[in-house]
Amino acid sequence: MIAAVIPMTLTGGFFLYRLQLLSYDMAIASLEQKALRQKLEIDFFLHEKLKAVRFLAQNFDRFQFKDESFLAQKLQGLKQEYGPAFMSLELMDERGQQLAYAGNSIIVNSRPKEADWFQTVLDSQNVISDVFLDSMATPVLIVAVSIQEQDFRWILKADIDFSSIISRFSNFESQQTGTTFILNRKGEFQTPVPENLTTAAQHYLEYFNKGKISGIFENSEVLLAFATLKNNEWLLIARQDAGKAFSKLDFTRRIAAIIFVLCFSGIVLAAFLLAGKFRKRILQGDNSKAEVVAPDDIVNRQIIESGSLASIGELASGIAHEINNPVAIMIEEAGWVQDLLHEGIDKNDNREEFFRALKQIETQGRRCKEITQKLLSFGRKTDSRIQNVQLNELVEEVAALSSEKAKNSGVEIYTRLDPHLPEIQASITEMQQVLLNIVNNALDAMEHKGGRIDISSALTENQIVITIADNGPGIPAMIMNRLFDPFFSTKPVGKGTGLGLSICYGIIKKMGGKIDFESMLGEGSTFRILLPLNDHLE
Amino acid sequence: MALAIVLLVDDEVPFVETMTKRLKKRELDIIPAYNGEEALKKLEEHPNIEVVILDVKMPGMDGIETLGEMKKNHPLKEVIMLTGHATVESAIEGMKKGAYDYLMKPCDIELLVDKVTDAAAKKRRHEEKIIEAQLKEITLRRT
Repeated sequence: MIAAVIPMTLTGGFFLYRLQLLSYDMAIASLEQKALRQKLEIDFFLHEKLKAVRFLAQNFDRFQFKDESFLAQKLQGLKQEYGPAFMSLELMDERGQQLAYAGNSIIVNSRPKEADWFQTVLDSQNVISDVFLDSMATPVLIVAVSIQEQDFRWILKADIDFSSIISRFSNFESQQTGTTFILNRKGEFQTPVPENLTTAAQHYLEYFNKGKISGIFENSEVLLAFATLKNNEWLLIARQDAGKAFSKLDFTRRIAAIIFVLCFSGIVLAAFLLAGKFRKRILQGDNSKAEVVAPDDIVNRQIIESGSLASIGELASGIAHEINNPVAIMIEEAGWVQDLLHEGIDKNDNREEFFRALKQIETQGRRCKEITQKLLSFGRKTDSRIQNVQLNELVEEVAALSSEKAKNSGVEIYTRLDPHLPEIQASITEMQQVLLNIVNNALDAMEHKGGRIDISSALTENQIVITIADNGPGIPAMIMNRLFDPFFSTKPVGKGTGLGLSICYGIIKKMGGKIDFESMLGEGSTFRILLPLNDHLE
Repeated sequence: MALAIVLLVDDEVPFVETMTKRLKKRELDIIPAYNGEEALKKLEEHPNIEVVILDVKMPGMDGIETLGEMKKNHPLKEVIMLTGHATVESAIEGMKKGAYDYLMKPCDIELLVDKVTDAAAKKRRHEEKIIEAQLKEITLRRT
């Protein structure tokens, strides 16, 4: 059970853990992308306006701008080219004195000289101011350019309506995916203060100043992504509730959890059922076999038990390996899904690949389920009571259970079963053990070169004959007489107990039947089990 | 240019297909093969293969046998064995027969990529040393 459960638990845990990390990465990446997209949009908006004003200032002189009809004509041109965001154009001297004006902005500031933007434009020729509200409560910012003409310095200034950008922020909010807002370096809002904001603006600046561009904050309840704009003077903050952010991948996570819980339960159930049945089988088998094998030889219970345990161990090892393959494929597919999500689900054919991978995980999950069901169906029949048994069914089950080991040994197993075979009175457990033992021996013998095993059933006048023929290396003549002896084994030390065939011999003999074999070196071996139809049980 | 040219050998088709895609994303050039015989054939067809990732448990010619055959004709190719838990002993046997390393299946992809690039680097160093030695020999003969 441990061999099957550990890889499954590790797979499940690993998959869920990675999915959780991935959903976090995805949510952060998506938020960073939103912040970056808005930063680019706003920066483009601002610099486009600044470039337009600079173009006018550099290509016309102050005497032309002094003519207010000329100024109004240029403002009209700007509106046509860049939309209604341009509210006004104004010519000023270096003391802030208005020389000409065109437009409709209502900004009450009789002392522009004292404003920050005015000092900046004189120092660095260009300025984009912070946002403020005009007397109609419209969010406005100033874009201005200063020109030095010999000993005279003049300024061309435009008032820009910022509400179109803010309305786009509102759209972003209405999708319920988060909130975006802008702060200047003093922590003053450049956009409306978002609802439900629980943290003071200064804290966001502190987060950012610690060098973080994104992360999870406020007791893991909020995701934040930062982007600077307007030459690092403003900080754009995209904020999203963690609960909403992780909701998209929650569904996938739940499905994955369900698949793994089902597989896990299947394995645990199979293991417990098998363990119980095998234990029962060993205990019951001990009593009956000891009676048969022991009269002449001193074969005690513990030795017989170790023989049975060896067969079970061999079976469990094969099953563990069989389950490991689909598990490895599931892990690779899960990794591939992560690769695709990292790259972006909408890129190239990633979406189709994503669904193909999920389908493959499902297919491999079913493969695991088939293995556990095969075990379960085998386990259900581990009953040493004497009852009606259809040997054809047992042969098919043993062939199926041995298929993985056969595949790895390059052996093909064929069955040719008589459909008219009647049921006989026997212990299912014991008959399974006999068939498994002979098939396992044949597989071990053909491990290196491969070959085929033919299992057939036939009905003669008064008995059933099961034949297991292989085309392996054959049995050397010198050991033929010892084949059914207890403790005789040709396998390396530690690999075989030497009890398998002696136990088979005892079981068949107890049933009133007979087991024999023929073998030719280099051509193969054929084992024959003959079971009487009536009154064969002691 | 790819980090390394790799022959990936495993009898589980979905495993090879998905692993190929994942390794290609990590800038490895992958040539797939689905059994030992095919792997040996591919090795002859693509002399530029640097590293082989080889499953131990395969029907027909298993990983250990394939490794033995590979090392006969291509001793410089580095081989990384992939193994399920039940075949670790075989993987160790593979190491004794000249495999570069082994990894348990299922394995961490980044670890596999690291091992492959290390193995490719070892192969290149080895080849450079051989060329260097040959050049020295030629120079000595001429002087």
